[in-house]
Amino acid sequence: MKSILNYGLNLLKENPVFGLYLGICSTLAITINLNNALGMGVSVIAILTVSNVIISMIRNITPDEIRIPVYIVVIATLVKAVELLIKAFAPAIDTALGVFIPLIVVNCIILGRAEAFASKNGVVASALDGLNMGIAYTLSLVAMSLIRQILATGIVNFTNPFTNIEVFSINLIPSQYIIPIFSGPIGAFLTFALLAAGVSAIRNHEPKSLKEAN
Amino acid sequence: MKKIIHLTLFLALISALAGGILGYVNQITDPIIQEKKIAAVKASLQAIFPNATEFAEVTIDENDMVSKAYEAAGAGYAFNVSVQGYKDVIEFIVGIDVSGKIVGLNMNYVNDTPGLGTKVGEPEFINSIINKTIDDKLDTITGSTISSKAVIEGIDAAIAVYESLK
Repeated sequence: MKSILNYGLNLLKENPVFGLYLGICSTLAITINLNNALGMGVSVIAILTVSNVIISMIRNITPDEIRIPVYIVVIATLVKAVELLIKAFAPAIDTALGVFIPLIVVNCIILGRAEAFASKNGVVASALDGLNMGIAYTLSLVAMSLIRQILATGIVNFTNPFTNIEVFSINLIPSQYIIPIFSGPIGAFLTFALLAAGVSAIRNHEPKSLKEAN
Repeated sequence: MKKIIHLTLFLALISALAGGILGYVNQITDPIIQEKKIAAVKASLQAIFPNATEFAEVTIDENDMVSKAYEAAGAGYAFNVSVQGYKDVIEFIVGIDVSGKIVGLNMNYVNDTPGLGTKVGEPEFINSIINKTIDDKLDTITGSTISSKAVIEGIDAAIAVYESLK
C-alpha cells in the first residue's frame, strides 16, 4: 500500500507534464477528447520505452560528441515507424491527431529521458523509466482531456480506433449548459493552469514524514 | 583525424540501420495504407452515388479549391474541395449528378469554432444544399457566416469545374 502511495506521489512530483513542464505543445493541442489523449498516450509510451531501451543498449559505444544526433536518429526512426503502423491499422487516430504524431519526434520528454536517464542506466531500468514516464504522460493527457471534453461537450465517449466501434458514451451535462470554449486553445490553457497549480499544491503540502524520507 | 572518421562512420552506421528498419516497416504497411485510402474514397463516393458502380479519377486543370474530381459512370461527378474557413481549412466532397443537381455533400474536415463554424457540418446546413441545382442561390448560415460562405464558394468552384467537364 505504501509503495503504491509513494508511486502516486512520485507520479505527481516527477510528472513530465505538470511537474517538469515537458511536452506541453502536443498536450495543449490534442487533449480535446479522450480518444485523442489515449491514442497519443499509448504512442508515446511505446516510443519512449523502446527508445530508452535502444539508447541504453548503445550507451557504451556511442561517442559522447555525437550522442544527441544519434538519439535523434533513433527517436525519429521509431516515430516514423509508429506513424506508418497507425496509418495502416488505426487510421482513425491518424485523422484525429494528424501532424501531432510525427511531432512526437520533438516531444522533449523522449529526448529528455534519453539524455537524463537511458544514457546512464541499464537496459531494464531504462525500460521501466520509459514505461513510468509514458504512463505519467498518458494519465496527464487523460485528466486534461476528460475535463475539457466534459465541459465543452457534456459527453464522455471512447471509440475503439481499430474498429471504429463506440465502446461507451456517457452524457453528463445537458447541452444547454456546456462551455464550448474549453475545446479551443483558451480552454486548453485554463485547464492546464488549473491542473498544474493543483499538482504544485499537492507537491508543496506532502506529509512531513515522506518529505524527510526523501 | 581518426576521431572524425570514427564519429562519421558511427553516425552513418546508425542512420543506415534506421533507414533499413524504416524501409522494412514501409514495405509492410504501404499496401495496407493505400488500400484503406482507396476504400475510404470509394465509400464516400458510393454514399453520394448509391447506384453507380464504377468510379474513375478525372484529370482537371490546376485549381485553388478543387483538388480532385471523380466521375461516377453515368451518374455524375464528385469533387474534393478544400477551402479556407474561419481558422483552418474546410475539406469536403460535393457530388453533382448529370442533371446538374447537388446530390451529396460530405464534410471531411471542419476545425472551426465549435458551435459556430462547425454548423457547416450539421444536417441542417447540408440538407439546405442537397437537391438544389447548380443555378440556385445557396444560403449562408447566421452565426457561421465565414465558414458557410467558404463552403459555398467551394461549391461554386466545383460547379465551375463541373461545367467544364460536362
